[in-house]
Amino acid sequence: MPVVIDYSLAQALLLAKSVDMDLAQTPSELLADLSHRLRRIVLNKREEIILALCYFMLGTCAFYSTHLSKDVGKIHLEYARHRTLSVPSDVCLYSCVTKELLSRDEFIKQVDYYTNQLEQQVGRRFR
Amino acid sequence: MLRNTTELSEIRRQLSDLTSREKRVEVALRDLRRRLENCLNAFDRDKYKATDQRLLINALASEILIFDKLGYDIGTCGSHFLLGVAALLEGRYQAALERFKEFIGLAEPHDRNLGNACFLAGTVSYNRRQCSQAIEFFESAVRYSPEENRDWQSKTRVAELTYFMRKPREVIGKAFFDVEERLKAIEGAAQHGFLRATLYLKLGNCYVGTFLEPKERNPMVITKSQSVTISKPESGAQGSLDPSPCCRW
Repeated sequence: MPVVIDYSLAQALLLAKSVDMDLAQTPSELLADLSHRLRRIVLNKREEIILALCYFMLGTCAFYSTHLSKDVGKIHLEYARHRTLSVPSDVCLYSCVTKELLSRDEFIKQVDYYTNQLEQQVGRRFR
Repeated sequence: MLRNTTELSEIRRQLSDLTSREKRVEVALRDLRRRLENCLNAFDRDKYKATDQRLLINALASEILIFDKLGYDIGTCGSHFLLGVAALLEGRYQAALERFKEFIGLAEPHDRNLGNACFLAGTVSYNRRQCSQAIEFFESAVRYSPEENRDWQSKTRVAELTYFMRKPREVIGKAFFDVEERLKAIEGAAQHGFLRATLYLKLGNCYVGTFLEPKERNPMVITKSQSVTISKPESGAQGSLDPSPCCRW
């Protein structure tokens, strides 16, 4: 749960364009830190829904943090997509990005949106 | 005469076979019931996904189904609960929900897994975005939980579901703050810290702005453009305002 709290906190700080002095971390550093913790957590998870959510969080952390590799973010989003497709089609998933329950297809749409965004970021880097 | 004696002896042998087979089945059934009872008595809804528990539940479920197919009655409604949990572990949500409903309909009011069945049925409904049904199950889980150890986790889910259903701000706020009030009464209890953290995380998520625009407008978040529109309705020049941080996905 602490990683989920930190994700929401970083999201709120990023959107408010502010920093929390008590944290001594910028939102980008906070996302990078929680990404490292989350990568350890997923090693112990087996449920497809949880894995899909965790990999989606990892992918979006890479998108919003300047301290994380965009290429690794893309790989995490690919995992998220793969895991999401293993979930039965009638199951909904909680989006950490929009804080709502989404159908599987809607969730995949969000995953694809970030994958495209990351591809563009990577593309710009090599241009 | 000789033929009749031979036939009689064959019938006797078959009968004895059948009796011993029935006896073996009876022993196996007794053993299964004992293991099932132990499993149900030790069931913990926060730990049933652990590898050992998962394997135990799957093994018991397979045995129950074999006896069921052979026409033997397990003799306890707990088997429905266990089959529901096994289905849930395999991601067969509809089957799990049906088993839980069956168990809820048959179980005695004091059955320790009645609340667990309601909670898990609520979780299945939650995962399928059947919000009203999920609220009913979670409310039942609270009702069936012992007074000295109320199921506040389920009550927190109810509050979160009112947010998913995009109920008015006051309704969502009231649902969360009711739980907060109740939690104050159990301050110092083992689960208190975890329950409060869960409650505040879910409540915070109702208010936090989102990276992308949500599918349905969130009544808890008042965007900059909305607040300006309220204070200066005559301007109508939303295009001149700061762009919202949200974008369409």
